[in-house]
Amino acid sequence: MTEYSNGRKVKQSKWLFVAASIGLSAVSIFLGLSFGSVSVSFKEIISALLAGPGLETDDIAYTILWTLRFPRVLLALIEGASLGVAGAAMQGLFRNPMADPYVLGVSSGASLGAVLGIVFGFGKVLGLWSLPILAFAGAFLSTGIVYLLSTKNGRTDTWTLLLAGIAVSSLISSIIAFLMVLFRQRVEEIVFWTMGGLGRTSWKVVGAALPYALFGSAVLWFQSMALNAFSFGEEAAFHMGVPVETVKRRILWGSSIATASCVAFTGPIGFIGLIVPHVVRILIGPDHRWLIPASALVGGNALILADLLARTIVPPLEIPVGVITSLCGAPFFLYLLAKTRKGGM
Amino acid sequence: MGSDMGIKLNGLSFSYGGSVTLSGIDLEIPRGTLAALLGPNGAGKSTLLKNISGYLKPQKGEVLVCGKPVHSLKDKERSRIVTYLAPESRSSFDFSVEEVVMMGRLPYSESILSHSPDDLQAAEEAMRITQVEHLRHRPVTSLSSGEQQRVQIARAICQDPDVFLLDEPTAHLDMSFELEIMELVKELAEEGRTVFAILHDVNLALRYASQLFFMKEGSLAYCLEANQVSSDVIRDVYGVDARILEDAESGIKFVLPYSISRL
Repeated sequence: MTEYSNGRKVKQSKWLFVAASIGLSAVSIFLGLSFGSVSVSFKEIISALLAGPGLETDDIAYTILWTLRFPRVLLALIEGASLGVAGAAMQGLFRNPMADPYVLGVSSGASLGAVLGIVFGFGKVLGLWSLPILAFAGAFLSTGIVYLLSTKNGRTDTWTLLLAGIAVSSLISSIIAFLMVLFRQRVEEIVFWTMGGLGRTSWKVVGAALPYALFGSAVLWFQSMALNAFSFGEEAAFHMGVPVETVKRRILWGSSIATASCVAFTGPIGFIGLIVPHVVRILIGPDHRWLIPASALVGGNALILADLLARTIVPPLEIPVGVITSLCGAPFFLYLLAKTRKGGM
Repeated sequence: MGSDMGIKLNGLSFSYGGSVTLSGIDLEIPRGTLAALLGPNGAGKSTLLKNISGYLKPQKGEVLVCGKPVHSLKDKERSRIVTYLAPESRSSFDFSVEEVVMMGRLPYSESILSHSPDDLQAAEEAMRITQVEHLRHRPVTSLSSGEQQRVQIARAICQDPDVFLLDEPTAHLDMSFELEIMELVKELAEEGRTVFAILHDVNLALRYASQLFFMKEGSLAYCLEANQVSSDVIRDVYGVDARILEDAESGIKFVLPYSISRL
């Protein structure tokens, strides 16, 4: 944090950070592939990778890797990255390091969609895809309501957005609680869904989530310069030539698209979108052109490792990964708060 | 004709919802002028500047900046012509001084990844003339208010607009930087740019501005040159009894307020 004397060094350190994160991601992916109910050796991973997918074989390691672990690790990477990116964008938009991708009601909306699917048994209609589709629709519906509540004459008020997000989220939470009382026999299913987990992953899920995550994240990254200007407030950004309303809309929907596609399959996973951008900002500074991609890498890493812990910490049980991220994330966040209280962000 | 005018307002009226904030304002400031906007707190000075900058939209009237209707310009084009600088502009994240000054190049940027040599040169030049070069790698959040103000002015200069709307550019500055910023602003005007600055210090306005606009309760009360400012004007606008004095040695005029007017 004290390296202000040399601009080139600062820039080099950003590249270094990104390179290190990519290296770490490779390590995390290998760890994620290797450990679980059955351990797979480094050699077996390499030979399975070289053999490619779709082979007819009795090899257990090969089957576990290609049908279960690869898609799971990949989804963790995609979702962690989306949460990191959306968190960075939200914190930039609200000029507040306490904002996260869920402030607009994405997670509560997705949960309500899934819970309705669970209690009314819509599961039969579209099979495995019904809950994700309902959750995806719910996420967009609640973001849409929050957006409409805070937009008047084409101008979206950022503070109303934040307050409407909080109000809509708590309204939805109480509806979910109400449904849980009414449908007690489904409570376990509901609780497990809303705690978040990557257990239902398959290649199809990865294929469905990836395009949205990439598209949403790209939209957000292209707002980097505008987000930098936003740190001085919307009025200042306007006077720097930022199309303020357009940028706000893009950030809102980009973040919803990027996160809803993953959350629809896994349930809400907390704290990644809050902590990751915060930590990355401390390490490489607030420039969103760097902050956004770096948060993607660190977020992906964090979720792969959290999922690894979730699968292996109390075998043969699998703990919902959302529990792990909160369990590790909350104390870490408190530590950061205590540490940076004096020095600002 | 129109393009000789830096700023031209015709019958501008504006209200924030209910009560009228600005009513029937006509004003012309030729290019290359340093004009001061003066008046008591709450007279509508900042609101007027934000109407000229395009941020607020008047209910009635016309705003022309360099001959162009500011409210129908695209964001980028507008911000290459005019910018407004708030009295206190603080970043919520600790960008370095250099990064902040570089934000002035937003209206010119083609790529989100890198800056053109023109951009870098403009930023260097802006940091040099505002004397913030030595702070370039410091986070803005760690600077004193005066330093932050200079960085903001550097950013505005880096943006290179034809018209500068400055809301109390000398707030938080100590005496020497106050004079330095005013000299700098005067130079901008001499280069052919139009500067319209809200000043609380009538003395600075008397010394540097070639046009002085006094606002009172949402209207333009006076448009004067420095030598036309009289104690009657000061009493009418601020409700203060004052003497206009002149320093024998330097010839600089100044206002000495001595009591609250009992009108």
